[in-house]
Amino acid sequence: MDETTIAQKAIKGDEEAFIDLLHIHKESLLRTAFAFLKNEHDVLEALQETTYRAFKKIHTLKEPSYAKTWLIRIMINYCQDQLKKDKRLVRSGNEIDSSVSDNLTQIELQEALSALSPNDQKLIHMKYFQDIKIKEIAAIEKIPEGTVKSRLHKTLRMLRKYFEDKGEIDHV
Amino acid sequence: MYEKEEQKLYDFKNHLKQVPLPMTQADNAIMQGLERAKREKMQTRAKRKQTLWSMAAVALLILTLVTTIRVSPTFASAVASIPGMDKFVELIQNDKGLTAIFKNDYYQPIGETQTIGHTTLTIDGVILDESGMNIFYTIESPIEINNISIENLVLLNQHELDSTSVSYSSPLPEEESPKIYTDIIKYTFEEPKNFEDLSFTLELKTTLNDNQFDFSVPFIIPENTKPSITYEMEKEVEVDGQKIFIEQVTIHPLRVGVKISFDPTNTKKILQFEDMRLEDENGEIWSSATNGISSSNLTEDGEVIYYLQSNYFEKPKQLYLRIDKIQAVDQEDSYFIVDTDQHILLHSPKDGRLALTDSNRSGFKMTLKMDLAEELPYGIDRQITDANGELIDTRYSGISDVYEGKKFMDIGIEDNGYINPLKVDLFAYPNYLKGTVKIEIPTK
Repeated sequence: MDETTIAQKAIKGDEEAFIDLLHIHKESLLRTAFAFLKNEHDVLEALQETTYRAFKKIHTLKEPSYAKTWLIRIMINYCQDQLKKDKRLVRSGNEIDSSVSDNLTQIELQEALSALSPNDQKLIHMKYFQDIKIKEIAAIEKIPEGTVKSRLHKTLRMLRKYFEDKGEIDHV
Repeated sequence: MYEKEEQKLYDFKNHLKQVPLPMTQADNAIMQGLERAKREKMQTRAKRKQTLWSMAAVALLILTLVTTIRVSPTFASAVASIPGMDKFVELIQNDKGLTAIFKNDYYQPIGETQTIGHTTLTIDGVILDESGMNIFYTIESPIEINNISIENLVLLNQHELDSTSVSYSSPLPEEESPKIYTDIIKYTFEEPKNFEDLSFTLELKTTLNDNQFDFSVPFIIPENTKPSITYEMEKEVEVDGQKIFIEQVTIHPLRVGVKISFDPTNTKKILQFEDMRLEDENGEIWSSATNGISSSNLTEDGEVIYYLQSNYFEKPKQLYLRIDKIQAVDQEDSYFIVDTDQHILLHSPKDGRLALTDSNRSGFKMTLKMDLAEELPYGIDRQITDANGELIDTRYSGISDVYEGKKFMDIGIEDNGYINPLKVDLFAYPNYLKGTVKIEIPTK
């Protein structure tokens, strides 16, 4: 059975198919979560929550072939919610699992990404980390393709500006 | 172009790939999430009966309230006289269709609120028709709103409602009262809808001064929609030798949809209608529903639906559909061809206004000559295919304002090992048909 057929069955309420669908995409989902959450415990909780939200909403998924993107979107939304909640608590640095952010460039990039708006972060994740096509992002986010393209362009420009400003500071 | 920034992103992606994943625990997490969702579903089923009853009670209350307001003589006179409506005046005054809706009592006050902490979301009222729903809402914060953004928005009837577009303003708090924010959500349904059950829920996820608020407000709409009117036009018009078919005009209270298709044997490709509008016998105009650019959806049969402001409540003696600025280019000019290995523009519209300034396998930069008076509020690229006809994914596309007589474009593409040259279909281009469209639309 191919991915789309499995997704179709899951949409119709087939529980086995739903579990299969989650298994097919669990690796992508875990990697997405790691990009945001850093430690294994939080990542697993995020996967549990994504499963929970997806099962409740699976009937609203219209295009079975977009199931992966749809799941990733739920995951990103959850991760962004968590990060916002965490901001209110003071976080100690050593809580962060060093397996993800162990060199300076990566840390810098993560800083730059976290300075973006949640919506721009989402686009970057879908496009650059999950290789999702613009057309599919547009369909899932319900915005025109042209808007996705121009927002990605704007976001890259912001990243460049961030690094340029940062570079100046570093050289002082 | 943004190779450096993109390289950083790709490096990070590869880095993420090396993180060891807890695959076994992941299976447990999936099963736990599923069990929790299933448990909750069982509980909701048991509760549903009770909820229905309390909703019916609320519906009765709202109905009474509406009837009371109705008899008030101030209510019908003008938009601003509706309690709490003054703050929306600015948002609707440029849309004649919306203004008419208020004059004709088609706006339905709701007044449902939800308070999280000390922050309150109020659904002031809605306008519902078969094509969509406009939701007027207010957010009140105990502290000054420095920034607010909408992260996610879902409208549910019995299920989530599919939409082709959801629009809301780029949120900015009011200057005079920075603790209050008002806006209109414009939700366009994917297909015209008739509702039997008029209870809805708006789920609105907002970030306000960096705090997240997940509002979920159920509300019941007192009155059902007025029926939309559809005219099967099946009219053919010829402009500058090009055949355009006006197939159908549907008049909803919130918007007018005009369904159009084109003769496949046209010698020119029609790209955009810049000023499609409805005009009555006195020259009064109902223009496009969005500022500047008409919303449109390309359906599978090559039909396009354009949305205009609505004349639903007006009864002009005569009504015309008019278009003066029709963007079009010769079929062979409806694309340009770039070779990103040899850095040359192999083909472009014969007016010679496009030039390639820079290129490599991950993107290219171009300029487009513009006259002083010309405007072009669009990006020009639609889709890109390689020499084998494979679709190449665009990564980003930006177009500048006019600067020293030129617009500057910057397009990033996926280098999946594609074969040059690349063909880029035009989405828009500043070249127009000679001639205009004016056709009469039947009126009731």
